[in-house]
Amino acid sequence: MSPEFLATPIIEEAMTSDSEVPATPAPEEAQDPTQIEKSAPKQEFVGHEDYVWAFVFLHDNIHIVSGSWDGTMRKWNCDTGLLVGQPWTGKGGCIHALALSPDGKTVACGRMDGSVQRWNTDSGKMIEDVWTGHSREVRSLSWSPNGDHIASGSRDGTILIRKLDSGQTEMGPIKTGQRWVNVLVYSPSGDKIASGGLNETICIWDTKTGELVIGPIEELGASVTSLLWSSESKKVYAASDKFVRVFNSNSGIELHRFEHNDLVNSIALSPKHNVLACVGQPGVAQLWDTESYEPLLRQPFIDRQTLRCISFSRDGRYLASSGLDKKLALWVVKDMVPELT
Amino acid sequence: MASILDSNTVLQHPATEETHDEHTSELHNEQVSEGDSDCDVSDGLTHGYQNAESGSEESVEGNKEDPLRFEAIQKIERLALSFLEQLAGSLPNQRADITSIGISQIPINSRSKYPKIELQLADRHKTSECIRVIRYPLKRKGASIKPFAQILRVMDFAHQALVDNVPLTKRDMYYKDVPLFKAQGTVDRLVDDLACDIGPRTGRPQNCNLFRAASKGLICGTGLTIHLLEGKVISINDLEGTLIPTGEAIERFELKEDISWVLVVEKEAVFQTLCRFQFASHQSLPGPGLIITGKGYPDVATRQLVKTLSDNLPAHIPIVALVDGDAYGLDILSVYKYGSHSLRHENEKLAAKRIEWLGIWASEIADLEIDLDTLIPITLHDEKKALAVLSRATDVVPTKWRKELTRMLHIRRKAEIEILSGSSSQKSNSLIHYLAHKVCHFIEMSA
Repeated sequence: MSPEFLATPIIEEAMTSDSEVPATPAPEEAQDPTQIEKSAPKQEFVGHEDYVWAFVFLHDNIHIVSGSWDGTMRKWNCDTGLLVGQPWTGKGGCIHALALSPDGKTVACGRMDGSVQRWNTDSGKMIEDVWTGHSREVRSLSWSPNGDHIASGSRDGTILIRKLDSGQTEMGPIKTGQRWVNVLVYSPSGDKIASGGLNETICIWDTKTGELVIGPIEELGASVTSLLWSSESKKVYAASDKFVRVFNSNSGIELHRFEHNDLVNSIALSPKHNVLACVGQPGVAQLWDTESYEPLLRQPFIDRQTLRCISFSRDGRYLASSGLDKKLALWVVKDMVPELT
Repeated sequence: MASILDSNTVLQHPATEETHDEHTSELHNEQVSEGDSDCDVSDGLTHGYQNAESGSEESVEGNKEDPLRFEAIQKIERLALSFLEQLAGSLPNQRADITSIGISQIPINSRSKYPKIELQLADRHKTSECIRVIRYPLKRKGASIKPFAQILRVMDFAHQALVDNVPLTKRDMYYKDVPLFKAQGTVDRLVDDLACDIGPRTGRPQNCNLFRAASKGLICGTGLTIHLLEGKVISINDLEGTLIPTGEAIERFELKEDISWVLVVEKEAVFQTLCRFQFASHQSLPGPGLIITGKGYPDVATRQLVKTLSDNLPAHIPIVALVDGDAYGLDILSVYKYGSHSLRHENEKLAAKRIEWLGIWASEIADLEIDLDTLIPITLHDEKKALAVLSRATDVVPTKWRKELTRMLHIRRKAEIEILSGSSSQKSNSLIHYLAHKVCHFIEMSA
């Protein structure tokens, strides 16, 4: 169907789908012979009715559990691309955060109403005891490495650390002063926890005493959207503005920064390779070598889309992403970077 | 000085003000202390205005006591007569026994060498009952007829407005004769002084009650308290709209809770619906917010409020607007965001740059499971207005607006907010659902 009247370029432009496209019209794809063929995702998981805000790979490297603004969680099979069973529906509104237990059997979700629920990853059933305590939505969750505690961060600016068996709040509320606690990550050593806030700072807390040990690390350019610890707990990676910064976790000194084209929303470290994945606003989707600090891809592996969450599977084989289009995409890392063994 | 007058002050007949003043002063006397039991004051004001809202604005004025309006008309006429008499009396062969009547009197026999005409007006700026005098001739080099020409013209406009019972703003007056007035300030001063002169005496010359801004904007929500000068406090609630006071009357704002969003809606009907559902504190939103309506094209008071919020709220609190997806809706949004076309010289003071278009977009109709055929076809007026908006400079029409307007012109249909609450939509309370989702989206994107 072609527009019969008003056939001006303005109309043509207007008729393109513009849900994700940035304001400037997309330039014509340059036929550059040196461009490597962009790899396509192996699977796309379709079904959620709203933004997929968070997801986790299960330990079997075959399943993903995703949480969405539609209030449900869904379990997906990476081999078939299909939904496993029925969506897990629960009360409390939009899901803003997910965290997987170290033994992989339980996934915790944080809800709009400030509650934290735990769900069995095999049965898809919720564990009876729902934790409340935050006055605003739960934006971040982290499980302690030994599996005994769950930390939750909220828009109300506090962190609560609860003991798993009793559900009792063991530490907190820790008043972070960061306005919203967007990100919360236990160090692999378990003695520290890092929080990233709306007020563009990072704080590192002692998990036993609740005291601030490092920070607030400032001048991050924008609110902190994602945090990671290196495997030996020596470094902290932080995404906030268009830079992903690496800090020494003991001194708080910046070691390096990775630059992107736009704001970074989520980062992930491969458990197998020295690879850092970064995604964000349209045009930001890159893989970096964490030793050489070099980019591994010549162009973003996803374009023209806002991406909110990225994660590697435990064996480092898969990379999954989700954004504002209600879907998840699954990538095979080897297809994207063939030189990785 | 506690002046609530600005260049948009409407010349109403004093009756409206008398009533309200009596009302508030009564409440004041009953109260223990100022600022205390402020809900009584604001309730009184709100209820007074709320009752008025049920009818048209004209009925508000028409129902009040006309004697006061006639008194004002008479006073202007007397002032004019006084001038004419002095003019006549200053002629060379004037009989000395003519006595002049009117407010300002100068004994005709006490004439100096040169004929002199004086008009005395109350001076607002002095604390006691001082008078300001407009004299002819002035002891200066330039023409001294101008002040007289100006005050007479103002009197003329005021008189006509009172006779016709039609509201008239100072800005309107200025534009009626720009070459004569030259500056808005001239009109402002003259109107203010005239107001004091012909308005009812309340014992405090600087508190001239004749003119009040007829504000029409409403606000609802929780967590915002407006402190007026003279100690009055307005608390808003999330169940019903509170009239937005003029900027000059406001001393400061107090934000109590963690307001998470600000929503401006074009239509009053939508505003009332949102109030009914207490949307400002709705549980599907991450936090409470404020809802404002200018009831169509916003007046200065509403724009001032939105601008103040835009300038002072932190960046992670989005300010969004719900307007019809047509040229008129976008024109209204444009007034909030860039200022009105005719008042370009004032735009810096009133533009709320941060406000964004939340919806409703023609392009999202399909996502909302609404049949395109249920949209209203555009009229010739819509088309002309759309083309006019599209022809404005790109810096006052963002790309998104352009795209949506062009789409509207192409599909020959426009997306109005009503379709969300109509029977064609799938979900019940779809307006609430739509807004909640969109506001959440903007909150997340602003973080």
